[in-house]
Amino acid sequence: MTTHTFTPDQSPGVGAVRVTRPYRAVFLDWITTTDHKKIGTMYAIAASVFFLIGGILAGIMRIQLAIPENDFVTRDVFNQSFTMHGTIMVFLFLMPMLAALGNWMVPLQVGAADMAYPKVNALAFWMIPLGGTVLLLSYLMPNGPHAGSWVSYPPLADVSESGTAFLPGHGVDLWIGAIAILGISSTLGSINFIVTVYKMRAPGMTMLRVPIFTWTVIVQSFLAIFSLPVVTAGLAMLWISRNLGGRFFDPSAGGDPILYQHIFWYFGHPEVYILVLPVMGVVSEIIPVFSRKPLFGYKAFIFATLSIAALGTMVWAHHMFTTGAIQVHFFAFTSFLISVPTGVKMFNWTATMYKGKIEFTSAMLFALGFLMMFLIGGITGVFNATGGLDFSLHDTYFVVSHFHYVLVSAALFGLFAGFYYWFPKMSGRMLNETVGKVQFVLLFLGVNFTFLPQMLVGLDGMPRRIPTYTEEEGWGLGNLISSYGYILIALAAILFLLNVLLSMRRGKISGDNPWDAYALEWATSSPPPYYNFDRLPLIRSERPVFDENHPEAVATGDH
Amino acid sequence: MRRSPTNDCRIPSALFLLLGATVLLAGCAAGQPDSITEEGDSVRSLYKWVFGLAVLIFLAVEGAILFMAVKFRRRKNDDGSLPPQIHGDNRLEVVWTITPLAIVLVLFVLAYQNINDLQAEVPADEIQALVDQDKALRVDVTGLQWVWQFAYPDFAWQNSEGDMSPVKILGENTNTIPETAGSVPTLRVPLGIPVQFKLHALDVIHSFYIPQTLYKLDAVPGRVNHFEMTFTETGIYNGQCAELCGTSHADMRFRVEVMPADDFFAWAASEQAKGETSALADIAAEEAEEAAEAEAANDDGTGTSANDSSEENTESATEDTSGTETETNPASPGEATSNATDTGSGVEQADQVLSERE
Ligand SMILES: [Cu+2]
Ligand SMILES: [Cu+2]
Repeated sequence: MTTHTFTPDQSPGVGAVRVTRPYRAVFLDWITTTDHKKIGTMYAIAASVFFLIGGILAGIMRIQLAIPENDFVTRDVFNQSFTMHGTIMVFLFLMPMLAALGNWMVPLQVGAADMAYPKVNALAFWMIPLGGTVLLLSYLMPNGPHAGSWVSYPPLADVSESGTAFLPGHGVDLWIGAIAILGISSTLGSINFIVTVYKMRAPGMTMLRVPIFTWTVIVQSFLAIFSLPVVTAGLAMLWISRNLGGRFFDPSAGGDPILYQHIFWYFGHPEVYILVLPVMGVVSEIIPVFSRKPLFGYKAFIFATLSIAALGTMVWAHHMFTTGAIQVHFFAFTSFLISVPTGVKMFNWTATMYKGKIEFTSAMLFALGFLMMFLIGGITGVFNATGGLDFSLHDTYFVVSHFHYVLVSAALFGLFAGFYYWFPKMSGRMLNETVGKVQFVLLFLGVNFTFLPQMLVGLDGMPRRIPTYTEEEGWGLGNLISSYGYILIALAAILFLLNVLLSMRRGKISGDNPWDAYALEWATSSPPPYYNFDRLPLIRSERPVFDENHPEAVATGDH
Repeated sequence: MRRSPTNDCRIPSALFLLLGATVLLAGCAAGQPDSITEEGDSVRSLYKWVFGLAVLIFLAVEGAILFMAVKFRRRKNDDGSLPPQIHGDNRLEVVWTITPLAIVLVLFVLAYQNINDLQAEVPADEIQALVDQDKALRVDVTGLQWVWQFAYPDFAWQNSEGDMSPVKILGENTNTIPETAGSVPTLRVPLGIPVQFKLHALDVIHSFYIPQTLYKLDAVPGRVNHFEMTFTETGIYNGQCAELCGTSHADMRFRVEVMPADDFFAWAASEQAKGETSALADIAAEEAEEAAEAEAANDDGTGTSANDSSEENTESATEDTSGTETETNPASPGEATSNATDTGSGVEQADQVLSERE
């Protein structure tokens, strides 16, 4: 079992049905598979494709904004670009990419043979390309895609009193359809994760021995189930308003545009944690392994994760301070509170390194990069949470910079860390470490060159979602630097894709547990067989593989 | 089993230090623009507190991460043994739960005070008295795709229709992609006395944002949002819509001119006087016309004179429209939105007025 290479049809039992027509067999195998590992891989491929599209859209914006009063694209194309960039990066890149890691690792980490509902799992995956296609189809429609930003506030995304749409065409309708499909996909995936962990844990694995990554996926799943159906309902109301005269958000018919904002952000804020929590889980797997120590405060970490989720459902209106329809004090208070459990996590990660023997593998570097960048994202969030400062910062580039520090540190640093760490498990081969380090330097420089100047022009008052600005405003230099930074990030991303493509065939053979890592996924072969485990180690702590490999630590009671 | 160790941490640690320093330097240079209002000063002082604390926390935590990473790196001569397996410490967890909690509670006290500063307004029953003595000013701000319009309800006159018509500043509507530089409307406000803004939106949500006041508030259809500012610096400042409102969102710019209060009130009074004079002239012209029409009817020579009078009507109707077109009704949001379709083109409305008269 240990000589598997990354060729899909070698999994026993499924692939190579017809030896005479291997390509067709391989193709049929992949599109009909219910194996969580193959589905995970397909999630990753789909997410990568959408990442490239979202990245190109970001490039269009950075070119347009690089100099004042540029006319690289029209105002409408620019508005469409940031709308699609946001939507694609959130719903078609980050969420599917996290689902890729979750699909791969959650069954392995709890010692299960597959997800609880393999067919539902396949269905949830295939809704991703479907939703993405529906969204991208809007590029073929007469007025192009949605141009009202990913929040799609009515009345702009709605129709006027006389029934004409403020944004002409069917871009908004296709967008609503796509989000509904993607939201249902995530909800199905989340139910699957919860049931898998609840019902299919290996003997001996109590909830307080479940690896941290799986814990964060569970909490993420609960948040998704709480929030995604709400936004789906809100978008259904928007669709009915647009097409059937529902007028839920039209004040002249007794509706209220603010209602939509409440519905949207009741989903929108937890969504941030949906995107970030599993990445915190990834980092919490990596830092202990490369410090050669257990995670400092495993239980405190779980408790902090639960607190973030609970508080995360109580802060949504901090996105609405400037509507004048919000009790600012209350939402400032809850928003402040959420920095406490986040701080606990920072301290636990840092303390994990204390007295360790740290190895700077690419995975560890990216994990440290996540810590350092996420800290900036978190601290800038406190500025917005004050309420008073948000009246000046809201809807400026300060906010753009803030949430990109949060989401880019999660999406790029965190996920790169995860892939450098788990690629050997997925493929049986190592990613190239030298490329990893070059990529890390590029990304670290790129992120700061891109988003730090945005913070400064934002403080100076540059609003977001504007396709142009005048020279007199003095935002030219910051935007130019930011656009150059984009090139560095793009290079880092391209290097990573090349690294994956080359290492899949030519990478060093990794062996089952190249990092001497702790959790259950490292107890099986790399890549794992179709049914995952030939045997399971004794599970007596959250680090069963460590316990087995280091009896000396267990013997001294020091495990 | 174990990979070849990559012990050389000099590159990453040097990199971390370099970038940490860059981030910090840029952070120190960062600041909001100097405020031009009393309320903005409150925001500015809160900003200084938050920024100071943020720098401290940033330095402490990034420093701790870097320190741990460098100090506890695996050395070249490592014997491969396990470091002490520390699983946690409940006292420490309590410490680093309570410390951030204490910090945010302190911050919240400061923020609470600041929110109150921003939301403070002259009580409704006092504002009229202050306005009458020129010790306060009210401004109606209207946002529509894609232009801002400003009106001073306290400087108004009775127009020829018998309605009250306030002094107004109208931007040019930028329905076609514009060279906006010339058409940016300039809102004039007095220095040193409270100015109460009421925000109206006729179509979609807009946001009234003057960066140097360190404040913005949304103009939402169906709501009348209001806030108060006391300007402390004269000068001309840029403002801009901050909520995406469609194609030309970026062109919804305006300027604010803060003038000494005496100058402002002199200007406003003269505008009001101009309006009154032209309204009187309009009324006189109309009376003269009616008399002429009556005469013409008596003369029974309808052919040419009817044509003449309809031409004159067109002129005066257009003037009238420029007066009433953007009038906002702060009291009734429903009416404000129903204006939305009317404001598109003055010519259309003039035609309508004309046909009604005929
Ligand atoms: Cu939020
Ligand atoms: Cu706007």
